[in-house]
Parts: sequence; structure tokens; C-alpha cells
Amino acid sequence: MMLLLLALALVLSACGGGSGSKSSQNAAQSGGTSSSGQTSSGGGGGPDETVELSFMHWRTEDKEVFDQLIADFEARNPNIKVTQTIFPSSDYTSIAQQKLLDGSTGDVFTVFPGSQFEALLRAGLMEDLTGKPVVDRFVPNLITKGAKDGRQYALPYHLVYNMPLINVDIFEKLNLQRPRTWSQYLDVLETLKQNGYIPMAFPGADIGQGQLMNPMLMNENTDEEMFPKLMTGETKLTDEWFVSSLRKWQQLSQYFQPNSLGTGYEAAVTLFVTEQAAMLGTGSFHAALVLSQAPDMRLDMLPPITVEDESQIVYEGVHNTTFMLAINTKSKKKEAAEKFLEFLAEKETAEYYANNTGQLGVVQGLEYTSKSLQFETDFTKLNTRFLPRSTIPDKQIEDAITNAISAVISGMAPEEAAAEAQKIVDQVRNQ
Amino acid sequence: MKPSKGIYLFVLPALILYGIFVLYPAFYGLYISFTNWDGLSAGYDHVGLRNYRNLLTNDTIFAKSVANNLKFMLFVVIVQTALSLLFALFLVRNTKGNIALRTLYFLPTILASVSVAFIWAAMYDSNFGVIKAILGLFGVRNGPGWLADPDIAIYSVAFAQVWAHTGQLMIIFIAGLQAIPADLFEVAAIEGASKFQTFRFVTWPLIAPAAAIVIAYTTLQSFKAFELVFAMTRGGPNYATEIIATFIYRLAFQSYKFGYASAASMVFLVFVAVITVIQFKLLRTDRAGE
Repeated sequence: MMLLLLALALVLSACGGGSGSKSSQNAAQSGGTSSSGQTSSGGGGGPDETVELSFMHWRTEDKEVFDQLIADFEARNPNIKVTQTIFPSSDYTSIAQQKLLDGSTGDVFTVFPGSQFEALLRAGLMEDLTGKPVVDRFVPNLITKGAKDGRQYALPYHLVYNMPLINVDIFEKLNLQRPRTWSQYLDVLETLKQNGYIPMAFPGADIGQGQLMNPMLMNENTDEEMFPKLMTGETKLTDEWFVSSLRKWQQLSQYFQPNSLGTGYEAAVTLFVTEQAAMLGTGSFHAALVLSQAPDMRLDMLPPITVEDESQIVYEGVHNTTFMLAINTKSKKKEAAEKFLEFLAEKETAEYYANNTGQLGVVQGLEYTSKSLQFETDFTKLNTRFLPRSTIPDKQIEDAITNAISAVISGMAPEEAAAEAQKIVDQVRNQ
Repeated sequence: MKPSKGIYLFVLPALILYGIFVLYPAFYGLYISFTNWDGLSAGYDHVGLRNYRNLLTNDTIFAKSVANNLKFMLFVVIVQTALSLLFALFLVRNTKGNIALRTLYFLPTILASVSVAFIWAAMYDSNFGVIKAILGLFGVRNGPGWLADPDIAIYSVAFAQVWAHTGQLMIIFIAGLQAIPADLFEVAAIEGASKFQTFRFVTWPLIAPAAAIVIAYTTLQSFKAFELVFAMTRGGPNYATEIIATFIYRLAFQSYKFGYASAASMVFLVFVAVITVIQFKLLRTDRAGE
């Protein structure tokens, strides 16, 4: 009997394999079957037919706001019912891909820019939105990370600045000016330390390295392809731009709270809102959370300027466009999904969402009334760079980079940490 | 009397389920391990033994994860076995107090691993954790970085595993101890044996079967500690707590390298099988030598 079962399993495993060919990958890269101007097939729902739509995303903190928006949408479209399916951002990458494959979950879903976008695009899971009117509602130069080879597959809904938050009152009390060089930046941190503050609360146990690495690199190497070129060997992590960044991390880490690699973002936020720390090493996405606990705090953002001469500054900040909305090519309700996407892209909807969640938006013409969206510095007027981390082509390489930062924070020499990270890059290239 | 052939019909449903949910995925995983499938796309290429070659000769993270897993396993097996035996020796009598304490020590077993992870991550927190507060009472201002220091993080996570499962294994030892005939202890007392001699020559040989179960179970459990590690540290800092299970998870579900992850799973399977066989041989040898 066991032999029979073994034989059955062997037969099934042989039959269950994929095509084993690359030809279906080429089809997948075209990103679905819709092309510009065509109406998506199916799932719009006739007048008497109720369509149940699944909206999959990772922002558990936005559930109530989306519930309200969904209620408005359903009032306008009585035959469409929308259900949110939410997975925490830390697990979203691993869970989303499986849920999308059979089309039952995530008719409309969100996707991270960078490696997840590329992977889902390769798998042909995102509908081609090129030419659809909804695309024109977004700020054109902020939706590029949802496009590939001139085709638009996803539309970012969040504009995020990945730079440390600062307590403006503490800075004013100590008469600290915005630093314009690395030495000045260290002087600011030293002054904070001398006055009894933790200069920067750094969540090294989870998101800290992945966030702060971006402004730490923005002026070290201004080539947008610095990370993609790792795969061809044109750049290496042992190059001076990366090692120099690690040296600065070594200096910066002296101004974090003790044992920063064991501090999660919740504890880091607590240090910041209780004014034990003057800065929070995360980004604008935490402004709403901070103000929910310290409503009177005045916030601004202060990216580390890592150049020694002000004339060398190219970028004055880092931004990211994320929470990218896409339609699942395997959805059987694409018409309804498009209606929901168009609804989310309406100015009134996007404004309501932004002002109630504290997330800056990418839809054109938004007006912000929420305090959490009003920083002392208007970064839209400055030259900010798109998040370098999102250009890293492989997750193992991204982990190698963030772990190199962790290694330096825990005392390893920058050159050694860079060399270990480059070994992993070489391994990935050989896989 | 020969069993009727119809008896096989009674085990057939279970065998079919086993075939579908255990054997088929295992063999399919073996098949995928020879490809570069990303887990999403319809197509992939067959790459022969390349995944295995890279894994065993070229992958420093895999090597680290194996080393970390061995450290984790040894700590948990030694400390958990010793503690559970110690608690069992103290609580073997069925007094009301002992029964109450046994219940208390058993309680962590019923918690989900993720809950244990969150509890201990909060306790270990260097800023607001209760361990920091307790150390502060003794004048220690900056204690160890339990989860921040790469040299000790794996042991901090392992201790949480010990805390969660010692009570469960204590019960196995208590059952073993209570099965020892009382007159053997009387004889030992009459012969003038000390407490240590009684333990060494009476107690330990007779609870050896229970010890074998505890050690084998603890070993397998330590290789399955994925949720605890992932929820506490996600393998950091700098791969210091990366174990084989978290390594495979990242490859498959974050790096989109299902083929490579499947190869790692197969190597993991062989690794655990080898350790289990070695362990059984050693434990059988010990019992044969009694």
C-alpha cells in the first residue's frame, strides 16, 4: 500500500510541474491581457447582481478610514460589496503573493515598489492600466515606480519622506540650526547628547536600518543605478561610497539609545513622544502615530547630510511612493475593481484618506488640513531623491546591506562589514 | 490467524491523506529543488544540481544558519532537559503545593509561540523591559543587549524556548519518576546510599527511557522554532539568530526563490534525519550499557 502511495506521489509530482519553459514568462511580462483603451472584461456586476470585491493591503491602522470610504463607495455602487483583507506590512510580501495566485483574494491590492513590484510583474499578476483615465489623476512624476517599459501597472497612493523626525521645540530651545555638512550634523547630535537627550531614537530591531540607510546614501552616490549595477559587478559594496557610508553609520550610532539593535519601532516612538529622544530615526509615516500620543509636539524632518562641503549637496531629502494600488489579472471582477480604483483616485476620497491617516498622497491637487501632514519644512520644494532602497534588485542583497549596517553598529569595522556584504552579493549573482 | 485483507481498507483513508498532504508536497518540493522557480511565475528552468552546489559550497548565510541552529539546539536540549528533570525531582510527590506548582510551570506550554515571542521581546527590551527594571534595582543601568548583542541574542531566544516548554517535559519526567518502585529507594536507604548515589544508581537508569523521549522531542522541537525566532528577531541582528527555518522562509517568500528554498529544505530534512539517527544510536548505547 505504501509503495502504491509512493508511486502515486511520484506521478503527481512529475505531472504537477510547470511548463519548465521561459515562454510563459514572456507572456507574463506583458502584465496581463488588457491593453490601452480596452475595457476590462467581466465582474462589473449587472444591476441585480452583487459583486464581492476583495481589497488587500497592509495598513491595519487605516482599517476604519477605509471602512468609511468603502461605505461611501457602496452607497454609490449598491451592487458592489468591498471587503478589506489586511496583512501586516512585515508579512505582506510573503503572504500576498500566495493570495493573489488563485484570484479569490485581492481584486484590488497594494504592492511595495522595488523587488515585490518586479516579482509580481514577472508573474503577470498586475493589470496593465496604461491609458486609463484613472492614471491621469495622479502626479505624473510620482507614479514612475509603478511603471515598467512605458506601461503603468500600479499607482502609488502614499508619498512618504524617509527621514528622521525632529522635535522642533527641543531644537529651538537649544538654538540648533539645520546642519548643512556631516560635521555640523554630528555637532547637533553632540549638543543634544550634552543636554541630556538621546539624540536619535533608532529602531534597530526592525525598520531602522532600512529607513535611515536612504538619506545616509543619498549624497554618497548619486547614481540611480548604484544598486542595480551590483548584479553586473559594475558597482560593489566594497566601493568607497558604501564603505564611507558605513563609517558615518559608525559615528552616528554613538548617538543612538543603548542597545539600539534590540529596540523596535514602538519603543523608539515612545522614547520620542516622551521627549527622552530629540529625533526619531524613521520617517513621515510615523507623524500621525507620534501626534496621537503627543498632540502638541511640533514636528519637522532632518535628513543626515553626509557631505563635508555644502557645495557637494545634490539631494536634500528622500521620498518614497508606496502603497501602490493594482488590479489582479486573475480577478474575475475587473470592472468593479476599476470602479473602486477610480473612486480611491478621486480628489475628495484621497483628501479624506490623507487627512485621516496622516499619509501624504500622490493624487493631484490634494489639500491637507491634518497637523500630521504639515511639517515645518516644505520638502516638496526641495530636491529629494527616490528611496534608494527600493532600487535594490534582490531581497537577499537588501538584507546583506541592512545587516552590514547592523554589524557596524555592533562594533564591526566598516571595511569588514562591507566585504561580508559583498560576499553575499557575489553569492546571489552566482545563484 | 491471518488478518483479513479487508483490514487495509480501514487504514486507507489515513494513508491517502498522508499521501496527499505529506508525501506529495515532499516529492514535489524535491522536484522543484532542481529548478529556478520563483514561486509565482508559470515557467521556470531546470538547473540540475546548481541549487545544492551553491547552498553547500557558496552560501555563507546558510552556513551561519546551520551553526546558529546547532547552538540553539544544544542550549535548549541541555538546559531544558536539566531544568525539567530538576523541577520533576522537586515536585514528584503529589502534595497540593506540588500539584499547584506543576500547573504553574506547565502554563507557558499552552501559549502560542508567537505569544511567547512577544512576551519575551517585551521583557528583553533594553528601554522599557521588565528585566531592565529589575537589573536597575540592583544598580545595573545599562544591562546586556539581550536581543541586540549578536554574541548572546541566539541564547536569549533559546531561553524563551526553554521557558515555554520546560513545564511540558517536567510532566514526562514526573511520570517516569513515579513509575519507579518505592521499595528500590527503601533498599538504597537501608544499604546506606547517599542521595547522589541513589540518583546515580537507582533513579537515573530507570528514567532513562523518559530522558530519551525528552531529549529526542526537545531536539526536534528546537529545529521547529521558526515562529519564536521570526517573531522575536527575524533572524537579526546581522544573521545572529538566523536558523535554517527562517533562512528557508526568507528565500521562498521574501526573495522569491522557491527552487533554491526547496533545495535548502531537502538539505534540512537530511540534516535533521542524521541528527536524529545519531541521537537514537547514542541513547540506545547508553541504555545497553546499563
